[in-house]
Amino acid sequence: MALLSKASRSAVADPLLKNNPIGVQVLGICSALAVTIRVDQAVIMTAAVVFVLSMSNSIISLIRSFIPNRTRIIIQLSIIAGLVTFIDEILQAYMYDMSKQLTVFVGLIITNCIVMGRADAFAMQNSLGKSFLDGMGNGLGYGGILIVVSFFRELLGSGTLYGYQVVPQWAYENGYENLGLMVLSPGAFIVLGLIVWLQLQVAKPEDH
Amino acid sequence: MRSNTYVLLFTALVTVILGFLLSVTYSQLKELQEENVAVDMRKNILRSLDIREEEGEIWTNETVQYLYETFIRTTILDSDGRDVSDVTIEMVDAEVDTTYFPLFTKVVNGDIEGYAIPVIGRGLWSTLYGYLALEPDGITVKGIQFYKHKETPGLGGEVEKDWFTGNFIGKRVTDEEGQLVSIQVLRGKVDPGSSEAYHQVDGISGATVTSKGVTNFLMDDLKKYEPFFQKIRKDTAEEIVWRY
Amino acid sequence: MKFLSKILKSVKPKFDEGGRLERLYPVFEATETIFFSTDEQTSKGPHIRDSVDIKRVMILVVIALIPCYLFGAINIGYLNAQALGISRGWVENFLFGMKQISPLIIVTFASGAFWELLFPVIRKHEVTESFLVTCALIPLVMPPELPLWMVAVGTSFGVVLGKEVFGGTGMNIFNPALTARAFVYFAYPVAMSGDKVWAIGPDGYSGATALSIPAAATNADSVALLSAFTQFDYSWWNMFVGFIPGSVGETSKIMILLGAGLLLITKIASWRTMVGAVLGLLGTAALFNLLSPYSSNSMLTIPPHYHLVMGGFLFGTVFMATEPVTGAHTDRGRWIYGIMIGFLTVVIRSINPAYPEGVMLAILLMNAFAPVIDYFVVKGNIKRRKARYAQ
Repeated sequence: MALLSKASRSAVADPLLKNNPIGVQVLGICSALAVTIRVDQAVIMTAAVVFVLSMSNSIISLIRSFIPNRTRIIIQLSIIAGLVTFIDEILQAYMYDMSKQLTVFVGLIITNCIVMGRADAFAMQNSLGKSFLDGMGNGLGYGGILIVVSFFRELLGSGTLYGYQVVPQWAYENGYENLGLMVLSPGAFIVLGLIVWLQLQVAKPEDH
Repeated sequence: MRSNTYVLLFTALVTVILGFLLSVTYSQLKELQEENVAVDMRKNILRSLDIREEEGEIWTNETVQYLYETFIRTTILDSDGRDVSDVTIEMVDAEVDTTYFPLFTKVVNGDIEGYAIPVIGRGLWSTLYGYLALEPDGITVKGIQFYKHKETPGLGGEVEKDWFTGNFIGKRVTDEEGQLVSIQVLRGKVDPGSSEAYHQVDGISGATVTSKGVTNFLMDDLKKYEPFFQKIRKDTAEEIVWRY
Repeated sequence: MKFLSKILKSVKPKFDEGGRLERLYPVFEATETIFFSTDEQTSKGPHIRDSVDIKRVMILVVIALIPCYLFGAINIGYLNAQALGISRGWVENFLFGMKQISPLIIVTFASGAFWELLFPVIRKHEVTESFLVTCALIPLVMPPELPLWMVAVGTSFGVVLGKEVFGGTGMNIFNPALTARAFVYFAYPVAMSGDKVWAIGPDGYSGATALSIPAAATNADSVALLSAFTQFDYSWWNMFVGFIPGSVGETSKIMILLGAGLLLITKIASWRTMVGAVLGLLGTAALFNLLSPYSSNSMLTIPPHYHLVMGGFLFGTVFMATEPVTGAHTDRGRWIYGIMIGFLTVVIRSINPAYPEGVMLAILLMNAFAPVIDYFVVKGNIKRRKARYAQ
């Protein structure tokens, strides 16, 4: 990280913990509920969001001086929507099984407040490099939470991790049962709530 | 403040560029995507007819296409169980169509090894999609495969699990007089001593509505194919033309 | 008692400020006040009566639950004997039942007490005794054969996420015992699901509960279905008396009414909530009866007085809906709160295909709405008073 200046470093690092989009700002909850049943889904979703966020931030930052103020939201939105559609098409072509499970939620990245928020609040004022890093950092901060939530949900709810059986067979034979609540949406709320609680204890953001 | 002309032109330009790029992407990937959809359907038909991956094996699209083209023949039947040769599979939507019904026949070295039919119907929260396969006698169940549903995981969602679908294999859909009785998903376990056990399978505990739904739509869907299977059973089926 | 008091006095310095075990003071305080009434005045939590602190209130609720426990134990034994096809005396039935539910009780109290002592120690406040009621309620609303680790997980969830995260006793939004039950219900649906909850006999012997019988049939008359059912006696009178499968505490309506009587005489529970819930239930059920000819749903044909004795409605209404913290606090609010519980119970029972029992979800939902109801009642009062004095 020594290659990066302090400012760029914090552009990536801040959203990971101190100013995490989900944990602290509580944005993008909808997809966090839907795609965290299994770790592999969360990983793909993370990759998609990191791609969309860093690309949309970069593109918007690149043309920010040309974007007319009056229609800036529409332009940002169409760039984001274009990128999301692109990702969706790629998934359908190359990862069909994954896209069948994620399809609606990939589309919903468009309405994810994190993407729009970063585009308007950061990329419109900052240079290309910084905007790219900011997009990356926010994408990873969002994805990190997704992966942590999905880790617990898959482990407790299905007894597997990344599709592999983790809870041994003898546990089931001795009366262990998967926590069915974890595969339902409320399970995500509960895990997310506990993570937010923990994060507020660790990160101590200023507003709280 | 920029002029209206600039704003309009710039916005239009962005839209046109994006539209162009997306349509290029779409046309490049279209073929691959359509292939994926077809392969997915075919994979499930193969599985219901007991052609499935080994443990840990992953089929590529080519494998699925190869297996499907080698072993599966498609036929479209009308409501009298007759082959209609001027209708293709693309023209039939098994979910809504009430005049034409697709039939997938497994043929190995010229011998028929089974028939698969699409089964679709309501569970508790969602519509379940699957394929039911019968042996060449038109009576015994060869396999059943559900590939799309939104039932509660752990309860109704168990329909896709092997322990549930495995119970169907070897059950019979007709009684001794040859009347269609379909498969009945019970509440609780099958009593092996019961005289009805030949067409009953264990239910999913806690998922009464899903179990009942499966029982109902299996009957409905089998009824549609009953004219055809009756002929098979009586060995009076007309020659059907298989289309690849 | 003098002896006990002496011991407590002798160890007290250790727990006082500066003492070696200062951090564990809440544990000491809780033990002391269980045996001796305190000279301190209530300073926190729900103020019910000036001379009665939370501890006494809670103990009275526990006493009100005892008849349910006694009958519940006898009923488990009775149903087990019926399943085995043998006849047994009352005492043996009772002992058999106690053997079934005492592990449940022990595990519930152990896991409940663990959290209930841990949080006050961390947060440095006194232990409150509401967990006695929570833990006394949990075994009554769980299946007696639920694996014990599930009981522990459920109790922990109910106490921690149902109560402690909100700040402890007096701050909770949802009834902790019901939260625990809802958690187990959704987390381990196979062990809890409505249609074969109470496996009371040998393997494979389980029966449909009264509510799941009409739920499973279409276009049928529910009373005819119930009286045609031979495995258990589902006549109105027997469901009132309680020799039917069901959760430990909910089957005998007579015992529940006894408990209700105690709670009402001591004015711990609100009669408005109870009456409201019963009226809401009867009214909605009667309305559904009128609508039943237009639908194939047999649940609509259940007569109002049957609804009253089926499932856990009465138990939930008497012991859970009336909990002072999570219910409505205003008199008018209690009426609305109660009526809505009765209404929602019938709606969830009849119209939802997945959950034949609705009282748990109805109470939890109304718990969430209770503050809103109170808010509007208070606002309405202010408005009316203003109008009165405006002239």
